[in-house]
Amino acid sequence: MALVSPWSVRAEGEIVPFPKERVEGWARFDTFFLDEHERLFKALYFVTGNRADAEELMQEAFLKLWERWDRVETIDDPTAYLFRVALNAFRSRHRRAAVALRKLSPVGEDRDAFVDAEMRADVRRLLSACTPRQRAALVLVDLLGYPSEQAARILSVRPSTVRALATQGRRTIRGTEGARDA
Amino acid sequence: MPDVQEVFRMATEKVKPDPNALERQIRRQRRRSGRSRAAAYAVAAAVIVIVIAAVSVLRTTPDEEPAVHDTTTVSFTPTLPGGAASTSATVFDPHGKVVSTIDGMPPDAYAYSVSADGDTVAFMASGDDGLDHLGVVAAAGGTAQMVPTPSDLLIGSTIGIGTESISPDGTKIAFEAINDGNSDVYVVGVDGSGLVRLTEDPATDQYPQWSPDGSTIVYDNGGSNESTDPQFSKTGEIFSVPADGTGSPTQLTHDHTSDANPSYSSDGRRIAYAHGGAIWTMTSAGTHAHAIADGRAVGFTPRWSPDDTTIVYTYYVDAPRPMVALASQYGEQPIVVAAVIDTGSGRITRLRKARMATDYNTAVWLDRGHILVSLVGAGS
Repeated sequence: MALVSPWSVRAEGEIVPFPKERVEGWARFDTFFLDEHERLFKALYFVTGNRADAEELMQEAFLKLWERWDRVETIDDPTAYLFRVALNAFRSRHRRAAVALRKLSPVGEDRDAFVDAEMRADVRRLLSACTPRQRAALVLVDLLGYPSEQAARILSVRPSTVRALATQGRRTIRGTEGARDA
Repeated sequence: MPDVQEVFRMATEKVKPDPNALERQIRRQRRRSGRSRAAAYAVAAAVIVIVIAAVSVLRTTPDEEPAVHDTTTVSFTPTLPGGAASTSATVFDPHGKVVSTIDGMPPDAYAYSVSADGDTVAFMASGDDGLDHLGVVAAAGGTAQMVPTPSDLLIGSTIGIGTESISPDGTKIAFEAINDGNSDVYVVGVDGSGLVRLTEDPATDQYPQWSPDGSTIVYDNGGSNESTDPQFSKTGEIFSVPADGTGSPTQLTHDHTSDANPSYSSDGRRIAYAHGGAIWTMTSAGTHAHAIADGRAVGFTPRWSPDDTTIVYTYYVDAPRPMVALASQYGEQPIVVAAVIDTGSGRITRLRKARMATDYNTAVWLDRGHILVSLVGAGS
């Protein structure tokens, strides 16, 4: 059973406008926040591997959406908007962190991720074996159900790159034995 | 074998957002509102001061340019980490034979472009400060020069990576950069002077290319769901914009298929671009769009030859798609190869040895008989 479900079912390459009646139900920003923030937080934690980063990115993304809230009906999919803002911010932040890290440690060495949550060691190993880019692609394609065209726009890459990243991520996760039975 | 959803559940089942997240969010909103009001008052005060100053000072003063990154102490990375594939600036003939290489390019240089006279090559590469930088080098080889740019512009990025294009006269570079969450198009002199931002919309603006007369930049807008904004499309469209920053973008394509990677023909009358999975052309005004060679040219990043008779483009190698490990900030990327299509006969010549790392790279013409490729090397 998927804990994170697609907001709407989409065929590959198809973009389905977000239901207007649902937007009308979010008359208040805080209702929307309460409805969506945990899902976004978990997805961002899955990508970043860091609780503080996920919290900060989530709140900054909601802040940007709040600034446009009077025009929310013009945004077909506010959740996609949140993810685009959050992942763009993560991209910039990740890059800057990598720069800082390079000054301290050999290139290619990544900081410890997923160390701040209770998690089985084998699951932590699985996630750490994927890159943040691969985890971002998996969140968008496998967990949120976006077609690769739309996921590509959120990540600012080509659809084929999204598909490649998701394939690599799945291969990494499925190729590691013992996670289920450990 | 666990699947992605199961791993996600196991990874996040005990991870919860701060229970006071909403209160924290509301406090942030109030702070932002306060700053916005303060900023509005400051702007109003500044406008009054400026108006008074403008009235009292009759002579015009030159615009102040953004401070540029001091690159005097930065060098292009001379070596790459172990396991990362290096690249070499390799010249092919249109039949796929290696002719020569250009010396002086950094080992991870990518996204080449060439001035109209074929004398100067622009590129991107990582500096020893960890940031990506624009650079230029003589096509005859020599020492690569770094182009100073503001330090808050992320020219390359972890996911998006950047693209650039040197002006026909070799004095300016159009490039994409991120400084507020998404890519926009900028122009800067090769000496770091005259930085101009050409686009400001919240979509991803990328793959800028110059018109032959240097007056216009054509680029693609990655699209967005925010469909009411006239500068957006849901599928990605081609736009043009004056290169000097004096005008607004003009949308050239209007359809429901991804349009990307535009470039002008050498006479400036046509634009080649990637429409869906195929190379198409249209007039520079955006009319008469059609596939070349009945859609058999499947790929992206087309570039016209100097005599406009052929187009070089790139395409992904068929499955299983080979991947190549680059430096850590770029990760593993798919290989693309170059092909040349004769626009008259439709004949396609595949340059299978002209292998590049992913789609921010493209093959570019040095002159009618020579194609420059960022050939990916060891580690592939």
